[in-house]
Amino acid sequence: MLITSVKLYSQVKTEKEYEIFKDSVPKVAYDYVQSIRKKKKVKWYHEEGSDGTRLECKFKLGSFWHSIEFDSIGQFGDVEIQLKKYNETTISHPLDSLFEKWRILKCQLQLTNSQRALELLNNGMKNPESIAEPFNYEVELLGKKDNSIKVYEILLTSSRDMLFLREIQQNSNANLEF
Amino acid sequence: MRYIFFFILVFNSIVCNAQETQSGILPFINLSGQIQNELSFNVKIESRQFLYQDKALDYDYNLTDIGNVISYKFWNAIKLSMGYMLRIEGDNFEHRSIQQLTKTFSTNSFKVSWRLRTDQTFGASKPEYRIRARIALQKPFNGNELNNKEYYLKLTHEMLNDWKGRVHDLDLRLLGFVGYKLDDNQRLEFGVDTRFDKFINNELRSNIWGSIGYYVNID
Repeated sequence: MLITSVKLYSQVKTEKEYEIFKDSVPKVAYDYVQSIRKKKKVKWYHEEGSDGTRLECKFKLGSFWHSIEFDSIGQFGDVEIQLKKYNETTISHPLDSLFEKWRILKCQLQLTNSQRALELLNNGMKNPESIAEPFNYEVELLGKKDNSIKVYEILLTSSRDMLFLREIQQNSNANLEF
Repeated sequence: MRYIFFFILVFNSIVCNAQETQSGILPFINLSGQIQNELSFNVKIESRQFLYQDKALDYDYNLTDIGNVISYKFWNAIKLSMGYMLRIEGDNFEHRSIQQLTKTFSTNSFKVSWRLRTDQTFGASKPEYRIRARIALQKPFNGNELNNKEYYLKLTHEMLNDWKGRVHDLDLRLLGFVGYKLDDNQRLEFGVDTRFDKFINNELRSNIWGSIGYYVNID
């Protein structure tokens, strides 16, 4: 576990994202989202990361932000739902062993089964916090390690097994602070 | 677009009420970097040059500010900064001590930073004490995250209270900038920096500056 953590710890997430028109979206991905959103407005983004190119669609359903990821040819990747309430103790076990101190900045629930995600989204999903397992937690957090505070992204299964951990590269904020 | 419209509306209404207007350019260079772990530094050099004053076009080099600030970032992401600024205005020198607290955070589509700053200026005239509160917002023109070689909008609003001797004044600042992120460590920003003061004595004065800045990070 420790060896895996050290290996994963060295990865850095660098991502480029820009908004695209719906005309540039593969039909299979567009149709999937339309079956949920009908004619309501959604925003499409193209993302280029160290792990490849993806398409992402973002929208608000109920009072929760949702994003659906597809690969570059429109094959379903996952659905992420941004949680408003989460119990930090439910994921504290792996984080306590990795960091001296940590604090969650954003917690998303990730569903990777296309059909199940479609059923849940079409049923309105009024309370994403009560979705039954299996799902993953995608967590953005502030972590302190070796006297250095950085932002990390961690993916955990619902049984708290770590799928990956990587540092998120931060931009300088000097132009906003001075 | 809504932000720009709102900014122009507020800006116009205040400028029209000003008794006196000065304008010019404010070029600046801002250098920042990490010293160790959560300790960082920032150096800013800015010059002020008048192009219009006393209702006439008139070039006049006014002053140069050289500021140095050391910052420590706490666990809760609040940054405490202490610094010193030297103001060179002709043969006169002014010395300013600076203390500030900042916190920057991201929402789903933009970045926000608030700042609370106090400063004390000592020079040839009476000492000046100021307390100022500022909020700044940054939004990329495309998408939610700012990429390299991309433009963004930056809006800033600041309120200042200053005391010089027994005279108290209020200063309001509104800034609208377009920025361009050249790479991970360099940015260019250009825009309008508007400052309104002498509110208290009802002699409203407006200063409108065309500003261009270069930010470089040497982490």
